[in-house]
Amino acid sequence: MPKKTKEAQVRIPWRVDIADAVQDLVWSPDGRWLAVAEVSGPLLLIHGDNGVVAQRWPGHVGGTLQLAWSRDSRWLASGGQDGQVRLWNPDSVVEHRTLAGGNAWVGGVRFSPYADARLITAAGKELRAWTLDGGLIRAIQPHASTITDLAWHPRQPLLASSAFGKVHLWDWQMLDAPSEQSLSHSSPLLNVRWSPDGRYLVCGCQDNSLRCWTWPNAESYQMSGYSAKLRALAWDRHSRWLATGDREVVTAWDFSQGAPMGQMPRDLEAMTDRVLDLAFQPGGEGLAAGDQSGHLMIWKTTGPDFQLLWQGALRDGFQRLAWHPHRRLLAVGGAEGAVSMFESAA
Amino acid sequence: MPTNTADTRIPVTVLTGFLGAGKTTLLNRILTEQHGQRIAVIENEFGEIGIDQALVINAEEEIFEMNNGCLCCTVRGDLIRILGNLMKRRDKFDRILVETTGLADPGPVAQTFFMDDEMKDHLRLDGIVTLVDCKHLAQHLEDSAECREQIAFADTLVLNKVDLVDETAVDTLEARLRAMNGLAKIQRARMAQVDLGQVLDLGGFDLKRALDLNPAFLEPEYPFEWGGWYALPAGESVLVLEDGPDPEMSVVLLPVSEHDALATAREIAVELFAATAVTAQPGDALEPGAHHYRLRLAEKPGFKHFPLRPNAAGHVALFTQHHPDEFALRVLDPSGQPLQPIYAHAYQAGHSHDDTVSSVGIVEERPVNPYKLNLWLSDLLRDKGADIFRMKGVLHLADNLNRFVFQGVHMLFDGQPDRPWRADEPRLSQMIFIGRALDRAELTAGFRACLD
Repeated sequence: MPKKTKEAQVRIPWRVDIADAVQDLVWSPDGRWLAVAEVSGPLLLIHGDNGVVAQRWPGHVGGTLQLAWSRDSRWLASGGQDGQVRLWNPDSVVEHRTLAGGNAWVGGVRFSPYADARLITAAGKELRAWTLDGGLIRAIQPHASTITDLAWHPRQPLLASSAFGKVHLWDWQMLDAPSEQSLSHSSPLLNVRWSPDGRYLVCGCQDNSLRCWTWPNAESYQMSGYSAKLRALAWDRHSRWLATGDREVVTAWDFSQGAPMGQMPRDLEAMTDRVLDLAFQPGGEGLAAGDQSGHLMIWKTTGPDFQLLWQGALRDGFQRLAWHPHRRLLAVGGAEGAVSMFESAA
Repeated sequence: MPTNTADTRIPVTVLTGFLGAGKTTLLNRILTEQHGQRIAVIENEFGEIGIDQALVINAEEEIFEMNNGCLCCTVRGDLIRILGNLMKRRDKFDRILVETTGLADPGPVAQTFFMDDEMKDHLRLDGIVTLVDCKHLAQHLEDSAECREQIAFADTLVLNKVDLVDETAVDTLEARLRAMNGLAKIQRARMAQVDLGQVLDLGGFDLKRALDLNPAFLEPEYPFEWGGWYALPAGESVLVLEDGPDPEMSVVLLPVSEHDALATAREIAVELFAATAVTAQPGDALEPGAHHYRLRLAEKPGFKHFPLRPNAAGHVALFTQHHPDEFALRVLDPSGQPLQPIYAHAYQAGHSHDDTVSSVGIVEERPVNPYKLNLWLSDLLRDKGADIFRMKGVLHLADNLNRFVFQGVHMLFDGQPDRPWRADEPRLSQMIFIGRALDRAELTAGFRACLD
């Protein structure tokens, strides 16, 4: 069981056993449901309050890759290795609808953050936009290689997609004639994140570096010196800190004076293995990170400081984590099966 | 780094070969054989496989160029993504098979297992198996750089469809492939029926085996590719050639006695090959002795006859610049019957063939200094990495009870401590390089400078 290292009180209100490693873990925006995808395919819908499993859905043949909730928490979308996109309703035992995602793994699903409630899916090189009744609005192929990640600009109707060498920016209002805006960097880009203030766009790269662009003037910066590819990136809610994880180290870049060119980042206390996932608490000051050996660490950020609140070894291993949208709850998905809820008193 | 542990990473076998060479047939054989292993297959061409106990994933080849400090290489982005997902599963696979497209350069797929930290930690490139279609290989070798690279990268070469060509032609092909890749195990097969033990679990390598197969492998290079020893009967024998890949060919004929060693004749031949050649037109007589003849073959199409004029019936050694098979070279006795050489030997030729892919093997008895070796290899691969396709080593490190094994692909390499040396085996440091335009003398000198 986790061991306490600081005075912070952490308790585990519930734990649910599952068969396989956790591939994705997403809270509904209203905080009621935790949706979990197992790497081999099955989906679970769990009551956040008590850990009761409300639905067990078969998910996708071959494996489920990504989950997304609609803004109103009414719909859960999943993409999988079977090339399908499925829409699920929390109250229904069977899927609501299946959409043909494309001729490849559906690795990206996002709802539009606007009232129009559209769904965006990425399969291979192709992006598709759907209405929730299954109508295909548009399909485009902005990239020459597989799309690795999608991110909505927090304030503008812009969707960023990343792939090898390029971030493509898709103007949501120009759906019929997508703009050709793009940012180039000749490296495989693994993920894409906007800062919450919309002023920066960052990508983790396969070649052990981080790429940063200012927005909208697209000045670019490179942060290198990492010892592994950057699979985990997260911004804090103030757009001050960008936390990144490589092999054993969580590094935080300070953007309070603009892009931190020429500055040293902050290396937080070392973890024990490759950092698989990390996230800042949406409404609070927490930062949580987990590594491949099943070590979890939680820090508190106060202005320029990071204070290690808690660390421990997880008996179910580690794969993904997700903070509750409003409360001091952290859902942790294990590598050996099992989802656990961590609750912090502080 | 662990010092005495077995490598527990999941082995990956890469299957390459031109379209039609039999990759899908071999894949199906591997999957249907009762080996009790759980196998995941990553396929690049939509083949006709569908086996219950195996997971088959179709992938579209995506090649990424990566720049990482001084290392520059290409990797398969689709494999990183797919295998990264597979490795999260709790039901682990015992083995992964990656089938490449027919025209694939094996470099990116091999480099993927060295360049990506996650792949490197969990997967081990066990071997590259290249299938060739005996009937079409010669043509592919001429036309395709990819084909030559697939040969050069192989740990095992499967000469498939041997039933479609005659045995002599297969022998010729094998000799040619052996000259390009001195390390690979060579298996002959019909319908891709091979001993799976020769295809799976290739981990490590054995230079001694490579030497048993190809004694020329460690030899210095010679100005000739072939030497044969003939007993000529009384009368006029004739050297007959057809058109070949070169309009000229140098030969040396030496009178030898029954008790001479071919090695003695070989040394004389080396000196003669360096001397000025005497040009011979078809029909000219060749006298065994102190001459280096340059046979002009383009003067007349078809068969070219050169009468042999030994002083008397007796033994002669013939050394030829090119392998006799390339020119259908024969020695006919006075009655017109072909004479078989009593003894023949293929040499490592110093010049480039139609392709410049070759192998250099080095064996030393002294232990290696790992620090010096690392420095040397880093420099060497930075400068020559593009031309060095594969590199393998089994090393004797000073004060170390375990063998140290390593392998590299282009600029990347990775090493592990291996099993302890057995009491009955010599502790040798062995290295092999396979690549384009390799400089044997430079590689040997560089390696020797790393010995303790």
